[in-house]
Amino acid sequence: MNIPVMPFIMDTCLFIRVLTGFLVCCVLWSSCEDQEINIPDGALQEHTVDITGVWKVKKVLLNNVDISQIFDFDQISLTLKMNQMPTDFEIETGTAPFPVKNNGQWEYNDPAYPTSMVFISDGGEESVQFATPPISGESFFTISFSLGCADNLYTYFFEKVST
Amino acid sequence: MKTGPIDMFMIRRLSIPALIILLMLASCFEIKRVNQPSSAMVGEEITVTLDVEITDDAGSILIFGFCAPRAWRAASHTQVSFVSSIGNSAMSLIDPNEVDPENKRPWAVQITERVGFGSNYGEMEWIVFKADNSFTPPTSTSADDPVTGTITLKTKVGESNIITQLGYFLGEAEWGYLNDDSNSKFFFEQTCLEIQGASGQPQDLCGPAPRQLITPETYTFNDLLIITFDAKEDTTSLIGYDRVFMCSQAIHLNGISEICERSSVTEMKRIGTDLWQIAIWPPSYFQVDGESISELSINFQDETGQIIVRNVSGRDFQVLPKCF
Repeated sequence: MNIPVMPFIMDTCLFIRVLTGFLVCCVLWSSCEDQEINIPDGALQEHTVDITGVWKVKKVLLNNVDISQIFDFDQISLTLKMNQMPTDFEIETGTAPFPVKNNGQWEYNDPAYPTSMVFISDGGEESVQFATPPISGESFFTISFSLGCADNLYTYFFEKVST
Repeated sequence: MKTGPIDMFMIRRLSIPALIILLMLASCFEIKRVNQPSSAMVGEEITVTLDVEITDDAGSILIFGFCAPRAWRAASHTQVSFVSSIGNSAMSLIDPNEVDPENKRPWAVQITERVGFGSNYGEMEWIVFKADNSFTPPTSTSADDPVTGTITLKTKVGESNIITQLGYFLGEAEWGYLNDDSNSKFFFEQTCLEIQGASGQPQDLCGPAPRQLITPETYTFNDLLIITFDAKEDTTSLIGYDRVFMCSQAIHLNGISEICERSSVTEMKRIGTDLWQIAIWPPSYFQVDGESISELSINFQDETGQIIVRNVSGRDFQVLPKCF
């Protein structure tokens, strides 16, 4: 007896193809639908880098040579204050070199992504570069500056001693 | 090594053409006379004239070099021009990147290497000028029939007392700075020029090179100064001592500040055998603005103050700002 096998197989294959196509279209359709993205309030707001606290110099490089043991840089104490944005600073230097000697105000060049900070005191401004970008909550930051001859680069590594 | 009769004959044969070539390559520039003052006041403009001759017709663009103390920053304060029997021209600072056709290297670099700084121990620089206009000497130009001219240089001397030997260079840009020196000439005025009028002893660049006392290499008195004293250098009388102190004076706009007591402030730290070091920041050490300080005078003493080491000429070591 002859059984019509081929038409049955062909029909099954066609059915599977149609079904697969339908499912793919459903998936594509659903992926094209708008999805609601929940962004927490303030998540996209830029925050001012917070380096408030009392800082002491832990290491000094002069033209990339460590001179920490040659001079008493421990005399330097820097207090940075903020009220959301930078406000006042207090500085004690003793006999150690530093771009400013007297207390004043300070600010960033860019509050969210600062590359330099400015000390304002005695009617003048002294800008110093961050050697590495400061990060809120970290216990260290590093600044670089020149004092006399522009050839000479001083790099001060500050460590937080209290908030 | 012995030289036989045949060798001597060959040497003679070779030396005759060599002599002829040497005569042919005789310098095409002659500096006949230099009129330069022997002294000047700080900040003064001085005028120097050079009477020169050109003795052949090769080349047409004059190069002029001036060797001056780096502290003068003469490139910003110098004007050069010339008058000659074939034309007159101003001269301009040459592009520092311009190379000569012969060696393909900047002029100032080559002159520094090949001519040097005369009697000056250092801290000098060659500043190079190029004629704005070119003039080709006539083909008849020779030692007997030279092109004659006078180069005039006006420069403002620096603001500190200094003794220095000035130098001058002549060359030609079209052919370049030939390696046999056949188309160039240099001259250092024998008498060192003394600049006076500022406070403090002069820096004598014509004298022996001073000790290397200060780190960093360049500095102003607003920089941290690391002063290193090697008691063995020049075999000083502080060899073998256990404690060494620095006695220093700062000469500044308001007078002189001296810190000479033997205390923890002035005591130097031993960093090796007979090697002593102290670091000071002049604004806090002398309690004056670093910019107002023109000079430091330093000597080194034992703890009694009886043994004092100064420089070999018997004067305190002189420290002048070096930020060029």
